[in-house]
Amino acid sequence: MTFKEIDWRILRGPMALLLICAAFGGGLVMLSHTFVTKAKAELRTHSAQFRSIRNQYHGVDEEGGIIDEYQPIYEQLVARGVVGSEYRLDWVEALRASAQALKLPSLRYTLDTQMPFEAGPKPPGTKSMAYSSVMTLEVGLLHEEDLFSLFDELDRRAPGLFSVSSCTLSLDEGAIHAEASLANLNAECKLDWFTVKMPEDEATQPARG
Amino acid sequence: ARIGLKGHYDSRFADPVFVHLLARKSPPNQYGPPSQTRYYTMHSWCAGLKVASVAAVLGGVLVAGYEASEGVVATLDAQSAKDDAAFFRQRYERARAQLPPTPVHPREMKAMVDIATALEERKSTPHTFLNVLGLSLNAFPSLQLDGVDWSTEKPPSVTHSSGARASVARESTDPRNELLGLQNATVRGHIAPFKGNYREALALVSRFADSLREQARVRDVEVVVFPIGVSSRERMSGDTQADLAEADAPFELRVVLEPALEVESEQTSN
Repeated sequence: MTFKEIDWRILRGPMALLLICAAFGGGLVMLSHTFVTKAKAELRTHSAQFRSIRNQYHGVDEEGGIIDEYQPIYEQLVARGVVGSEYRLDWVEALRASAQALKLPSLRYTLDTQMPFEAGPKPPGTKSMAYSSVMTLEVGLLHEEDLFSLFDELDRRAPGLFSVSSCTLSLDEGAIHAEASLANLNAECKLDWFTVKMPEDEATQPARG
Repeated sequence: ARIGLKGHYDSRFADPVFVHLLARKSPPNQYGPPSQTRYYTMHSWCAGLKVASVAAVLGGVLVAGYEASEGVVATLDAQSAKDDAAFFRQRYERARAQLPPTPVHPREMKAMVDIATALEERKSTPHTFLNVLGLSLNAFPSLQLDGVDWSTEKPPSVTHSSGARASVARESTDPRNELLGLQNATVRGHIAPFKGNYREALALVSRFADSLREQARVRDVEVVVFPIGVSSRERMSGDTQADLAEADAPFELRVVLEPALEVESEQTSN
């Protein structure tokens, strides 16, 4: 039978019925699919929340142990200026006081901006990290022992924690001087001043020093 | 009987005879032409479409029903997980409230303490190196220092002037040494007084380098600049009329120190 021979009046009704039934069946399937997708997504969310809070609850004992062991040390580190914001003004005042106490012929300093200390340890699962500010010292010394005395004085007077990363010592040409105001030795040293904190602390704590 | 009609024939009509004659031979098939079967075909189509309609509805209902049942189960499970989470949250908050208050989460507190401890261990000054240098230098009063460049950064690769690698640098096995870093320094000086005897000067600088190598804290020593460069790889020049006593005899050494922890662990194991 060719297309032209088909009497569409007869087929019209059943075809319309098929379309309506297919649309109805398809609509049911779509609705149910949407429902089950949403239900499964909610199940995943609530299951994840449940697992997380259950782990936290089981970790409370461990947290208690950590607090007992680490809180005293943490408080000491905060008091020393190792944890938290920098004490730049204190560092500068410590430099001046040390130079005066040791009667150094000269002491100049430059302090760079604080940057994350990439070589520092990064315990997994935590946000805390080390930051460092590089201080460059240009010191005129009578004797090389004065350099170590300077570092000892800074250790004693200045808050925070530092490590010397490089030093260039050069002897002055000519005779050795005994006068305290004249340098026999020049030193240029770079110190890393460390602080430990979480990145959000920069936004929540006011700048010090 | 002549036409083969069996049975008793007592009808006055001739229909049975005609039917018998007709039925004796199978008539040829007489199918209706398409023009006559057209509506029958379309009727079949209609039936098929109706069946398909029912199948579509039934199929949709079955599939939707199955997915809906899965959805109901998932919803019930989600509600159960939500209730369990709320239960544990309550217990966690009660347990947490019994802990002493802390400025940061205990995990972060521990992390900060660990980081600070590691940084303290990493603390360095040139003191140790200058002590090591001074210990050797004391035995060589004619060696005068001009300068020292000390650093905790990674040392450059050490090669002899002959091109061969330096004495095997022991690889550090302690992972903490990566944080500590090696100490390395360049020592510049000259021989004073220099009497013009280059052989003596070369031997003196070599003995000084050996004296440094013998110290436990020293990992490697390379003489970078000898008082006179006699290596086949270097260019030499001089004035044979010049007074040797007024000549220079500079030297330069590159020294690498062991990290503190590695020396301590060796001393402990000895």
